[in-house]
Amino acid sequence: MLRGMYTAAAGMIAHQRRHDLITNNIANLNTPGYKAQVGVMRSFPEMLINLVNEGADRPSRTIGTLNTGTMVEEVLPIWTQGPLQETANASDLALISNIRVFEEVDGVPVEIRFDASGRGVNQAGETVYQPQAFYTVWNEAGEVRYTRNSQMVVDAEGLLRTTDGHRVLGQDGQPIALGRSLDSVRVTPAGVLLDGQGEVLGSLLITRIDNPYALIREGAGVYRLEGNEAAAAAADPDDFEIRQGFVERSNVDPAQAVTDLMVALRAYEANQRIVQYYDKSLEKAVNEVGRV
Amino acid sequence: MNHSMITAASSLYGLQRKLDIIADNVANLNTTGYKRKDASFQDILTTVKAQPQSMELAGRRTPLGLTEGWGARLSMQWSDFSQGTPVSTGQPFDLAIEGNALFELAVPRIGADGQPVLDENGNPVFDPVWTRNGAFQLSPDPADGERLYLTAADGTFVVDENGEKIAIPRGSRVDIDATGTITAYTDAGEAVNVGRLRLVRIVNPHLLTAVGSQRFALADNVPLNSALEPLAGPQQMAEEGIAVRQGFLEQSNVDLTKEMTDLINAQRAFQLMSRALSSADTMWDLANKLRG
Repeated sequence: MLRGMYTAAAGMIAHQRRHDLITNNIANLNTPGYKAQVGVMRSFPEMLINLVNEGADRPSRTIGTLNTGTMVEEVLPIWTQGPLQETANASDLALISNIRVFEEVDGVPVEIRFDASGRGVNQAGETVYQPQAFYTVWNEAGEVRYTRNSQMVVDAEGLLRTTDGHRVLGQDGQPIALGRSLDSVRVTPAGVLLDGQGEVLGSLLITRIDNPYALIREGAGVYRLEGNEAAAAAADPDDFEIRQGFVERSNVDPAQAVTDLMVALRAYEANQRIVQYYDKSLEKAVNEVGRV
Repeated sequence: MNHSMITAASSLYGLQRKLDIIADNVANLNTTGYKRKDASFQDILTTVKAQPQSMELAGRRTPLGLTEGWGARLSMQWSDFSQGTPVSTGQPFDLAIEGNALFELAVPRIGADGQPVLDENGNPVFDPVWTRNGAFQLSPDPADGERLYLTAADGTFVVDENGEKIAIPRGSRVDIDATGTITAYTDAGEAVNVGRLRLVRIVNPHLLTAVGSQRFALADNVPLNSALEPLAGPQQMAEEGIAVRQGFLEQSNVDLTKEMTDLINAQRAFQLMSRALSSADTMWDLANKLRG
């Protein structure tokens, strides 16, 4: 059958998937700490087209290469910092992650520059990604997860939790038991919890993830690291800053999202039209070319 | 069903509830003792669509699998207990609290049959509720018209330090000081110590549930001392900066400017989300029209 029909159908599916991703980004316009996701598209593997059976005395001839469609290959989170919004609510703890990476060149530390997407190139010419800082939390089963959700509450047992119930861990790797609301607790930029008299009540465990793209999104604002626990380490206080009374808003740009949504829809439509044209060609072939 | 549609539908539901909360706040702009409500969003569980091993190519940043989000939901709702403006009324039974505390009221417990629950001696059983609405009045005891009790506008009893109803001698002039101590002066100028209002300090505002009429109660699984702490005496009140003001009422703490900003925000997010929904609908229509 006509190859292009399947190519166009693949295009429809890929753009549908992009549309789904953008819809989810728009849905999370007001979710604190949400990171937008983009779909990376890739063409199907190239095929080499050969002309065969041209004649007994002539060998087969190469025509050229052909791609037979496109797909969403991977979904990339955008790790840029979300804008901070002042709420004056003491239980909002925005985490600002600004981790600089240095490498030694002839005994002199040289900083690696990262672009807006957090990608940089080291002296050896390898691609490196900017590490990100996260709150370290436990889920219901007591497994370690990471989150940028900046809204916290203290539950009836006095444990510090995120708004969906993940227990927040302290430097000792155990859930922080405050026994009082955060209204009477001051949180320093380095994550130390102090009471009114300046007594230390605990310290938040902030984890530095060297390659944040290795994280798997679980929903509800939490991520997990699979198999590669060594890539997570307690962050240096210089790497991050906690601001009490602020939330980190979602980093979804609504204008960009609406534009992308329109593009995805129209690209879907264009592919649909192509399927229709192929259908018309087939119709001609079936009903008119063969007519006697 | 179309993935985008599910995402949009669940998120529209969450946004609708956010709009309801804002409408509730705006409607209670002039309600004495009203505490504004707030809510936060969280993204819904992310699923991972498995990908074959052949998708693991050089240059891929994320682990295998396509992550799919399913929108956002309202994750938590709470009351904001910040101070409202006290307004002078000159009425002796209008009381306002300065600082982080609540009045305690006793509400008769209603059984499953709709009748008040009685204890073994035939007396009604009361449950505590807490409020910042200090618009109190004197109500006569149905059994003894000479006895007057301090009650809320609907006849709910205000309780004293010992958890008892507060009886005020008929025809007396009542003075309530900053610590909540009630003194009644009879016509003869004789001072009668009536008792002291029970005030509780809010330890953890997130554990209080709004039950309507500007009152708050505790859920069954929340221990009292994790959310509230009865104030021991005048000294502790002074330390915590808590005082009772006679002749004043605390206005609602709703800030109309903030609510309107939130309203615009939520409404635009709602609009965007419906836009994504109609876009998904158009895609479905296109798919249906593939064949002419």
